[in-house]
Amino acid sequence: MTKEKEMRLHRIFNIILAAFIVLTGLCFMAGCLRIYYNVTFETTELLFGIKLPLPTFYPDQEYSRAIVEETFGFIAVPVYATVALTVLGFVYEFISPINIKRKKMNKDNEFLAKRLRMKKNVENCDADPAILSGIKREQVARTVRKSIIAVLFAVFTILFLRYAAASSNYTDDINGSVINAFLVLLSCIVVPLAYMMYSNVANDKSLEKEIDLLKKLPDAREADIVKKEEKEPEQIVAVIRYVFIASAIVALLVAGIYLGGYEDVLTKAVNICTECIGLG
Amino acid sequence: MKKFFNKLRALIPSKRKLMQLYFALLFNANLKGFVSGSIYKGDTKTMCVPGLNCYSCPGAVGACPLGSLQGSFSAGKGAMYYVGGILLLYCIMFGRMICGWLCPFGLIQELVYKIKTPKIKKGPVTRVLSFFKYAILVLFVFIIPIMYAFRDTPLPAFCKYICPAGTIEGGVSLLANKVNDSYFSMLGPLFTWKFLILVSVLVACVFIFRMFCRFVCPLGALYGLFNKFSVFGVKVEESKCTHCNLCKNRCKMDIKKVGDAECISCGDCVDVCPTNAIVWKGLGKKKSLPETVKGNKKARLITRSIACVLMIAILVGSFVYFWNQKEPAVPGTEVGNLCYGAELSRITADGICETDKVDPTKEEKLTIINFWGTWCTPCVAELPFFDQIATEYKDEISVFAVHSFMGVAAAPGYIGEKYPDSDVNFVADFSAGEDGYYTNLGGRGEWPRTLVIDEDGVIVDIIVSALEYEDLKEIVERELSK
Repeated sequence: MTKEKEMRLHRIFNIILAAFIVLTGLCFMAGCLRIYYNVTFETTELLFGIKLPLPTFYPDQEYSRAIVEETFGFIAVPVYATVALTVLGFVYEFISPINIKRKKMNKDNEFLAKRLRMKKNVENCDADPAILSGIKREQVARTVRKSIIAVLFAVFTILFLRYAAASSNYTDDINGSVINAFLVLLSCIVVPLAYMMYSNVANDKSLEKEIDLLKKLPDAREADIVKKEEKEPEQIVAVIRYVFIASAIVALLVAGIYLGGYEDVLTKAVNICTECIGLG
Repeated sequence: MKKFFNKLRALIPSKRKLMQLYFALLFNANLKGFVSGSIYKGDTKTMCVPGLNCYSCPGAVGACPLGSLQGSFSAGKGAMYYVGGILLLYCIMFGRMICGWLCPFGLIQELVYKIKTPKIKKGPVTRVLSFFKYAILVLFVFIIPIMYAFRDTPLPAFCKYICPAGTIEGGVSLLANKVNDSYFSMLGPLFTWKFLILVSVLVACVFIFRMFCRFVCPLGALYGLFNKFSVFGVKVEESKCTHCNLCKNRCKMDIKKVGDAECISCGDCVDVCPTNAIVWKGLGKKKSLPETVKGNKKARLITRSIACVLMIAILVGSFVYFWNQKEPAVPGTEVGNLCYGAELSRITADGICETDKVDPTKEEKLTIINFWGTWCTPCVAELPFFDQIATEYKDEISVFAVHSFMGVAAAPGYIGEKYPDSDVNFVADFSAGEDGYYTNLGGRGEWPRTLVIDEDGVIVDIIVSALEYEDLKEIVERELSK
């Protein structure tokens, strides 16, 4: 069998297995919802004498082992099939491993651009003004996008914190309050994140454009290149930082043990947190 | 033949995978819990394990750091300092290396990812989505638990509404044991929601590497903030780095740079760096620990063998130790049995009265005994209904609220503030030595728990779930009409 045929066979198998896994997941979800909403299928006569099994909802049925076993018994077949296919997948991979195609390497464009700027000495370069203004334009565009991200995050963080800090938003209806808080968080986060996604893609393209423009510039003379030496943070700063954090850890632990904090942790840990494991 | 043995060698798990498995077993060394269907109640649970491991897992021998952190906001300053100190210690020592080497739920995700399906690779979208876990950390781990702590309502919001580790390690593990069949009656919308989240996360992890770690886990978000300063982990030696980007291309996490907040220090990049610019922090200039041992190959082999033997001995020793731990004797308590009686001290706003004791089984009328704790959210939520029922049926029934002997110091203040003139008899569970009244009545660590006994002291109903006012009224009406 040729390599391409083998690759194709592996790909088809992987896709079939993926479909089975998604199907199994959906079956589990459907089974759970079927128990909770107490759905049964009853044959109902529709128009023109057509009979179809339609879902009927009965209220107040509780979970029980018998109901769970009965419901999930129906999805045993797709589960077993998925498990069998998974095992088969491993065996197939063992017998006939595929060589993974080398994917396109992403370059470190930021570093490349920085190095080119230094090599071409852009600040003191005597080249085509159109190229220089193009480079400047790309840099400004990236700076503007980063500033917009910062502003968006700041604004929406303030808006969210204003909501979160208001105690009136936390009522006796705990579930309702949590859902509302989450929805407010989502609405505050979606705009900055969406803009960030756009900005990342745009900045990558902008860097590539800048690199192309920089490559068109002539190299600067050795004497004119200003090498910016990156200073390593001083050892003493790191030591002070670690000493400070170590002191904080010791102080917190001593205070916590003295005030009996470990007993509170034990209290929580030795009793089943019914809500934590979904019993409720 | 050589090809076959090479293929077999490729199947041997990596050192990191073995370490993940080792710590998953060590943190869940109470194997007896899986057999008996109950959780471990020993003193080792005062210590938080570093990774995401639900303390309601039958095998768990330590506390979950995230659950403890959320619980500490309503427990008091002592708990906050204690948990804060432990978390800060883990953050500064290991950072997100915990995610890569010590977290049991991380292991589950990686094993599931090994299934041969098409994968969704990282990109600009996943890089941005990785910020979502910080939002989860702020809202569900800090803001909601703190705001509800001000209302004296303990609420571990992340554990309750999101954590799939709790559902699979705690919920499913406990329900799988036939001994816990009574727990099924407690399942409802919350379990349905959490089960859907669990299935979604597991299916997503098949296609997306460590989907939960990258986009949701607040513990990873917290550790990631200290990744740059952690004592152990990976870092890049800038003097040797040629910025070839091989490390970032090899990495499956959404890193911008090796060792940043997204890096779990798995070490995949160390092997691929052509200039050996990526090194392990905390091990000096050497690449790996065995290389710090001066000497020849034999010395390294001996060191590694001793380390392996020690680790296996610790693990096996833990299994044996926890297996031999004796659970307190639990007499059979079923509906129809005579209820176990005990003299319990009253709790008032002034404190616990050792001289004023009462036995709930001696009331000679319909008695409801509710086991609760100020640290238990559903217990605290249902207490007003017991108060209402106690007032409504004042002459016909007695209602006892038995506070757990753990955390009872907080009870007088709570009762004095919330229920100063209540008809509920608040008592403390100090009886029968350390076992407690609760355990002698069949309690296995699930809260809240309610017993209903008739005028002869015979148990007529046992409810292991939170009750609404209507449920209580129905029970009372039913028993009074008999």
